[in-house]
Amino acid sequence: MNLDPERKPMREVHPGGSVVLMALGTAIAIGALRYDFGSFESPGAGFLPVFAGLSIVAFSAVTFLQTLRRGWHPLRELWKGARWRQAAIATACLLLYSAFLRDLGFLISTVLLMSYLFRMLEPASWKGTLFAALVTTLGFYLVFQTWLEAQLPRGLLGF
Amino acid sequence: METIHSLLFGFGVALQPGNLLMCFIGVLLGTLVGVLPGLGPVAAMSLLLPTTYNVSPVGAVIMLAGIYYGAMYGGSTTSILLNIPGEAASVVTCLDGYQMARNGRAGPALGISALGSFIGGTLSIVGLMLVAPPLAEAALKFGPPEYFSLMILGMIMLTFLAGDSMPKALCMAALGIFLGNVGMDILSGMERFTFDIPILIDGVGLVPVAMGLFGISEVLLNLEVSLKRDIFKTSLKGLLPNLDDWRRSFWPVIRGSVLGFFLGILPGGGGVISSFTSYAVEKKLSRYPERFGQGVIEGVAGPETANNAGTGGAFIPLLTLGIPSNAVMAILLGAMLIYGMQPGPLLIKEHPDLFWGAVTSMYIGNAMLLVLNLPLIGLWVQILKIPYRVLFPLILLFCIVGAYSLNNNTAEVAMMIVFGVAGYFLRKFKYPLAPVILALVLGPMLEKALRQSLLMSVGSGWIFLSRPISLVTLLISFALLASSLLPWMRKKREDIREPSDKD
Repeated sequence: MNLDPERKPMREVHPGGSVVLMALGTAIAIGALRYDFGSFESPGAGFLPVFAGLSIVAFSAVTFLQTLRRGWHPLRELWKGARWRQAAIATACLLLYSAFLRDLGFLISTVLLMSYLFRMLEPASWKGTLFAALVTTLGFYLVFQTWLEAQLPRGLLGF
Repeated sequence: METIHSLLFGFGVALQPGNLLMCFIGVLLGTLVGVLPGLGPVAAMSLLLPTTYNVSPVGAVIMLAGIYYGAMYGGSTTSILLNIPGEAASVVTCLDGYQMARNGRAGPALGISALGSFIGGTLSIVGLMLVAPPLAEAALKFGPPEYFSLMILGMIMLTFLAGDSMPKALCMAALGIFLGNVGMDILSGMERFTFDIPILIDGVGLVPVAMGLFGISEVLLNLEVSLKRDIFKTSLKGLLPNLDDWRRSFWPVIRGSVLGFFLGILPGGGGVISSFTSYAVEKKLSRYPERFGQGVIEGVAGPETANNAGTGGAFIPLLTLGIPSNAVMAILLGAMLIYGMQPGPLLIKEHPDLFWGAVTSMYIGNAMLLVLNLPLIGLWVQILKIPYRVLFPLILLFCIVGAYSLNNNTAEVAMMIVFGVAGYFLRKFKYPLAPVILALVLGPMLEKALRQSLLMSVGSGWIFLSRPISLVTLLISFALLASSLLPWMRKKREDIREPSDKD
């Protein structure tokens, strides 16, 4: 078993993923025991979730052992040369959007989100970006709210 | 005679103006997502699922099916012109299609891929029409043990083909089963893993999970890299293959149709494995295998026919047994359940309009695709030039509106974002995502079949081994699991596995 990542040619992804999944599987199996496990004659609500959790642990453990045997890339390799900040900013924008969507309403929050996202990868004029954001938002509003009768959040504007 | 009567009835349904429009929208959007790299049919169907709530279930299924087989057509365009597969089933088309384009023969490559797709797609629908009704009749005799074993086989097959590592794929399938078990227990009514969050009582929704795992995570990963596309400049004149092209493509098209259809029926099958197998067969049978990869038309005709023929086959387990054979069919199953329909042996009898309407719409859709693809190739090439900085905010907005309009609830949007981030990390660590979706949909059915089987047998696992269909199915599953441990089989599997898990 190769415990030194530098000793062999590195072939596998970092084992961090399998460790997290082992922990998740353990939590699921333990959590499922709180429900009625029943018996093999009469399986209860916790029966399959316990086995699902144990399966996650078992398959993650196999992956973990395979990684130990073959060697692995350092964790930083996963983000080498990647513009990970863009992904992080986009995620933060989406989370903020979902938090304020109901209070601000679809129109305001979507114009704000689109204005930011359209300029995120390459600089562009604010006037052009705002226009594109407005057209996009109104287009979606017309299709989903007016045509498909979805109940998009009204928020501050009231419509 | 009965089949002809049913066929005429189906055409009557499919030719209704509303259904015709849905078919057109489906194949058009399907071609579009097939053309655009980074957006596969699973993501597209998840994104558009909420827009179908106000449409009749028949129209909605027609549209969603159109997206699936339309994507198979569209995927070849980017493979041939850019050497970038629009979706996983067109990966193998890059090998000879792009070389043909470089040799100034992009037109015949695109032409034979559209015509082969049309022939393969149409023949597979004939097969679907002939095989599905008797299979559904036979499936009426299946009990919970048979269903349990078939679902296990479906998941094992998908994990066998889903990615680099089978343990990782199995781990994702187990995660999907767990997610499918969240919410109220179907037998006892007990709430499981809901943490007092109201939206979890009905379970983890398929749409937020699929949109998150396939839509949001794809965008997040693409944001990290520079997506600059160089479109190969070549003449697109003369799209129709010449007589020699047809002579060389005739048998690959026929073989591709038959192979694709039967491989599509297999659980875990579909367009990807069909196209790879067809390429391998054509190379093996060719008098000049050494020229494969340098731009031979057989290397385009066979796989492109097979991946479309695979779509018709893939509908059979879903429409007759209620068991999806791949992630795309899992989305379609989820959609049908939302519309209040239970796919399975009784579907053809209880909803003949849906079954025959959907089947005949595929004939019409395939004809539409032929008309759309050949004259509109120039337009698809223009669409490829849309910069990603414009495209990604639109994809995100589609995801947001789609997730919200499920239940008019921002919690669904938050759930989708959480799964998007989870999908981003899982992809970084090379975990395939298709098994999560399939197992999420199958999870509740699997649990019900398992518990009913154990109740029937008073806790004896022998029930799964004492019934012939269940025994054979489990033996195949076991053989697949065991074979993945053999070194030569591992290599074979690596040769045919899905190169991308987006589908």
